[in-house]
Amino acid sequence: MTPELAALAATAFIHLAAVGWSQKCLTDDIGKEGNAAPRDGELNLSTRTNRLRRALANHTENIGPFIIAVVLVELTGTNGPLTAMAAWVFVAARTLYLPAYAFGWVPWRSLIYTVGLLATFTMIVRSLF
Amino acid sequence: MTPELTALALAALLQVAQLALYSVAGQLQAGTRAALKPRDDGIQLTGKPGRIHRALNNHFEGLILFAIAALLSAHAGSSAFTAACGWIYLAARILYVPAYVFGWVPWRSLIWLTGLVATTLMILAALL
Repeated sequence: MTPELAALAATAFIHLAAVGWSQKCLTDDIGKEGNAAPRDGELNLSTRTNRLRRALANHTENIGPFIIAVVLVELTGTNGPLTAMAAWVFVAARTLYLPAYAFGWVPWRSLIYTVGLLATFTMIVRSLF
Repeated sequence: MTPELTALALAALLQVAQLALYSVAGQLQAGTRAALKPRDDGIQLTGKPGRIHRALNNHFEGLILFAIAALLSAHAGSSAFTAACGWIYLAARILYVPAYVFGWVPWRSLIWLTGLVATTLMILAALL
């Protein structure tokens, strides 16, 4: 397995961590029954829970382009030190993004997000040339 | 095409179907004009259309993870186990929609968990 595909697998585990953490916070707020219910109406959630739900939504949004980047690099055979490094920079950035959101690290969360996005675009641009 | 990739293609079509269902149900409740406008004030769907919307949003999260699992399986090699996981994921996500809309408690959560576990096992199988 190439470093880029391994990074993609690592990204899946970050997603699982984001799901697990936000689920735990949600259950702390509204209980198991509230979580299992169809959640009609406003959910009254704590700041921490809302942050983790936004972090998960952002993670979902950013995995999409990263999957595209990995697929493009693999299919064009442009793997190399640059794409491997970019892929793992993405993984590091997205790992840090979760605590950065949960604990309100300002302005670091935004910088971490930007690093992840730039890493993705580095891979996509590399696959084109 | 590996069975996992076929399941991924069908899961993508399920997402299109969920989007169409959301569009129809949402417009029936909030009106087509509200849907066409830039939605500056947000549209708060209630009742079943709200549930359909939340089920759609949840599948974005599940589908992106499953896409990774299916790609890794295609690369690492398909097995009977990973193929079964792929079909279990698809079945779970199809059942998830009525489970949400009709408020099957706690089955919706269990169905959701089944899809998540199947996806995770596929990824682990590709790595090991």
